[in-house]
Amino acid sequence: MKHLLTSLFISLLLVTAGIQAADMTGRYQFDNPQQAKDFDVLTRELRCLVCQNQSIAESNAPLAVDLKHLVHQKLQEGQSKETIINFLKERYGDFVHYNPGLQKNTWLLWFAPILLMLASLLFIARVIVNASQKATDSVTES
Amino acid sequence: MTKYLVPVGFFAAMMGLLWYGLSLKPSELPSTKIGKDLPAMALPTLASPQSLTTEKVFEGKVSLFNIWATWCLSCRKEHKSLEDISHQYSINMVGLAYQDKVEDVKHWLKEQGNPYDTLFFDVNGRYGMELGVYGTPETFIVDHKGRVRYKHVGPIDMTVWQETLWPFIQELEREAV
Repeated sequence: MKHLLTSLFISLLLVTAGIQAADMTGRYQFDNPQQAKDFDVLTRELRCLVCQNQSIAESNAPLAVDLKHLVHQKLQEGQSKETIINFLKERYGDFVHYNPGLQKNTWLLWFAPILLMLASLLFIARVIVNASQKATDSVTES
Repeated sequence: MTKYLVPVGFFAAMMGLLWYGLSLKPSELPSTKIGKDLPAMALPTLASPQSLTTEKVFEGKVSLFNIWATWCLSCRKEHKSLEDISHQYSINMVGLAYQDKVEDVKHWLKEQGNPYDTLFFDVNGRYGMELGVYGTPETFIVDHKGRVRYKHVGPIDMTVWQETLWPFIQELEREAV
């Protein structure tokens, strides 16, 4: 019984997710498949500024809907992805783009993982060296 | 003793970082327009709905530029403060009714009073997009040359006005002389 309920619940989730996805692509018509693809990528890369942890693809907030219309319209006019992203950055700031470029204020964001890895490697190396020294010390002592 | 220095230091640094994170307000985005001219505008106003008015209304004086809508709940709360400000202070108050119906706006102003010296209509929200408006109410302070100098996100109350906005406006007025 429990299994049945769980699978029912999961299939319901899947069905609603499917409906949502269909709803999203069906609403906008494109001249060629490349534009449809770009639309998909862009709406997932652009942040909905009202509901800040969603992309405009995921959100139905009025501003997100407006931005989707705008992206659609600009793609239809033949504008490139970069042009559209820059258009929005000029108005809403870098925050609107989920994929931050490498620039002065994102330097730390990009290189912090490498710095952390170097620091931990150094730390591990020190631990190993200390341990082996202790081992040799104890060998020589005995 | 020094053995504990590294983990304790690391812990303290993490706590400091998280504490700092708590003080950030990611919902208040900085405006990209600060220091720049207002985007060119040509919109109908309440006074002349048939013709287009430009950003000329900002020239020669420091202005408060308030973006609001009748469908916005916190704008209702803010409206009363704007009314009080327009009566008590000498300031060029410009409004932009964002994605709103002209009839609704007229009805609202009749009911609650009209604090605006000029009220623009941005029915399709295109001008709001030029300004980077993402949630009403938002208010800009525009200097006598038509440049954006400050942005306040959220409703204005008398505390914000007296402690932040009015001193800033007075500063700009001194600069203009």
